[in-house]
Amino acid sequence: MSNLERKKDKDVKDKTVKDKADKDKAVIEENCVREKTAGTGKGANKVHSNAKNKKALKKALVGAGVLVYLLFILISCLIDFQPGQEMGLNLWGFTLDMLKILPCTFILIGLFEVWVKQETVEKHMGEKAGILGYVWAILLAGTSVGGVIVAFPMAYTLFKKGAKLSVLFTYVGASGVCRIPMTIFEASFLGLKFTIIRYLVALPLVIISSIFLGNHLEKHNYQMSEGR
Amino acid sequence: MLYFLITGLLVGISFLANQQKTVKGLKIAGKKMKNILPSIALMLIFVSILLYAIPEAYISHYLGSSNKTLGVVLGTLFGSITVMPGFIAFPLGGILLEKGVSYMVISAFTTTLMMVGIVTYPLEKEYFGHRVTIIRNMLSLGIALIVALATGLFFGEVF
Repeated sequence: MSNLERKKDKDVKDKTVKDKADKDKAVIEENCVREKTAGTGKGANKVHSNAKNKKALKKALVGAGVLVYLLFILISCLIDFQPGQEMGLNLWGFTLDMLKILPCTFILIGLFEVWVKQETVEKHMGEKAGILGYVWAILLAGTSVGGVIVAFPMAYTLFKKGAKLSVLFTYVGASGVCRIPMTIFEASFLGLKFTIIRYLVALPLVIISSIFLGNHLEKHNYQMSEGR
Repeated sequence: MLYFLITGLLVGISFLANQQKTVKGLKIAGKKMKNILPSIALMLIFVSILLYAIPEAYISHYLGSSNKTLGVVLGTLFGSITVMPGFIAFPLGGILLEKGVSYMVISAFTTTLMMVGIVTYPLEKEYFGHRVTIIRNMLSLGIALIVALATGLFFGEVF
């Protein structure tokens, strides 16, 4: 029981943290919208406020959903409703996993941002990097931990530092294909042949599709963002 | 644990090299994490529900069906929807293999598991936007299917 209580406590805490984060995000977004409206003049004003309303509505819906979910878990714990309890345990387990990876990851990304110069990224992963850019992307992906949750924020940092889109998509794709710790694990359970086939087929395809996608988006002046 | 050590070590070195830069880096880290926390929370909730809705026993039961095409389709489906850490997914693959499930089906499952993420959608769209997220995942799905087919060919399971 004490365990459950602790969990409840955690849920409540989670919620407050989330609420706060939501609020902060809303404020940031509001500011962005304001800036945009200021920049684009009167005509765009209506459109933006419309979009803002829609966004607020969506946020409220998501918030309500989260609230219902947390209430469901809470009540499940109180009345010993098994499905709800299992979901709660899943959530708890995954949250712990995240807590193991997330802070370190973002700290490393933060250090990367201050230490690695824009010119370095541009030179090795930018327009002029050529084929070597893809090699760097795959090496970077291979040595990273934690999969996509790490890959997306890292990709954004690379984007800001001037990496080419196709190189960046290769990095994200490759982080799903060839993370070394994962690969060792895979080979030990499914055999080396399985892993080699996967590498040989998936990696070229990842690079080719990334080039197509990257070039296409570059033509349309695509911009990545952080928290749309 | 090793990850913590390495990070700590790097922060230490960075701090010795340049305090201001390190503090700035840590601030950036905090800001980035705060921005993305709501999406990650949403993702965790999805995962917790999905893992309950599709337990491992269910997956191994359905992938074990004798029809290979159906197996690949289901493997792709399960793999695309769920997200599992590698230390669960690959042992599960090993178990499936022992049960006689073909390499092709396992490949479809594990490859989509790693490359296609429906539950990570709320996270990915924060960075790439809806459209690119969907395109990227569709491309990954295509790649995973080709990988599965190639695996089937090499292990002599197709013809």
